Amino acid sequence: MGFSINAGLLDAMVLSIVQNNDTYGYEITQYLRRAVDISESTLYPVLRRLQKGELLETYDKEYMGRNRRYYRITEKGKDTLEEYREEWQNHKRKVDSILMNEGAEDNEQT
Amino acid sequence: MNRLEFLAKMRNTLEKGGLPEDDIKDALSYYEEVFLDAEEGNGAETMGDPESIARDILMEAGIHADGDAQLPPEEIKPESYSSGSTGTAHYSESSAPKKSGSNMLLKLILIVLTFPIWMPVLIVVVVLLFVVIVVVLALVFSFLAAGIAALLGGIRLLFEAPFSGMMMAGGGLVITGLFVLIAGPVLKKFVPATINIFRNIIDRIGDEFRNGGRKNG
Repeated sequence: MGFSINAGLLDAMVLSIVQNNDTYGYEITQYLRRAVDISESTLYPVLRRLQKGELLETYDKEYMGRNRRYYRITEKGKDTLEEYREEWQNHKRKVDSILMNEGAEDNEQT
Repeated sequence: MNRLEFLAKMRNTLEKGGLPEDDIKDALSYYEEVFLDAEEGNGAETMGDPESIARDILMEAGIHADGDAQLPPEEIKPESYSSGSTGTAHYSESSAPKKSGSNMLLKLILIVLTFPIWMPVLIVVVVLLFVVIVVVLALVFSFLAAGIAALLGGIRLLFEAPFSGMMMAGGGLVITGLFVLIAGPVLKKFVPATINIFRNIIDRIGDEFRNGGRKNG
């Protein structure tokens, strides 16, 4: 991935992953890695931020004799995720209108 | 690097950065869980460097990586998710340190709260000074009293045992003379010095308060 992912986009993606299924930190990272190149140190602050913003809540579940912290999306988180999705659609359209068209024009010029 | 080494390095860096204990525990329990999950999955080598992870956490908390706390952790604002009509999330950066005009008040509260610590110390110092003064005065006056008593006793003894009496009276004279020679000047300096010490202590306490008030006024 040559494009950087900003904090807002990362928040949106995490919210979306958690909305599909309650899940835990490692699994969220694995999902995210399908799309973006992130390290372990990237996700923790994101999760903290979403928790503090009350977009995510946590509960603990036992797994193989140890604890696993699961994340669940809140109502506020769902609303925010919808806003993120709309915003992303707008953003994508605008970027596409420039990136795809201009890319074609440039090719014609050369 | 095994899990315990990894977590120990993280804790070390977080503690140096002055992160609150609750936040440290939260971070460590998260990374312990992820570490264990990673070991079951594709291996822990993807975990990265514990110290740089810890530094990222400190930075997120508004603490410089070199360990200087920019803000006391409790002043960090939780990020607000004010989503406008555009749906963009605005992250409020942690604000610059607040100017506290209540510094003087805090100082006073601190002084009152630390009362159990400084009160006994103050009492001990005052008592010690008092003891020194009393001991010096007692020594001086016992010296004088001994001298005079020896002189008088010697004179009385002169009639019964002339030689012993002469010696005793002579001793008394020597002691009294020494008192006049030594104790007189010493006392003259000792009394004003004692008064000065007390005056200095009181002045310094007063200055401290006045300066504190001026700095924050």
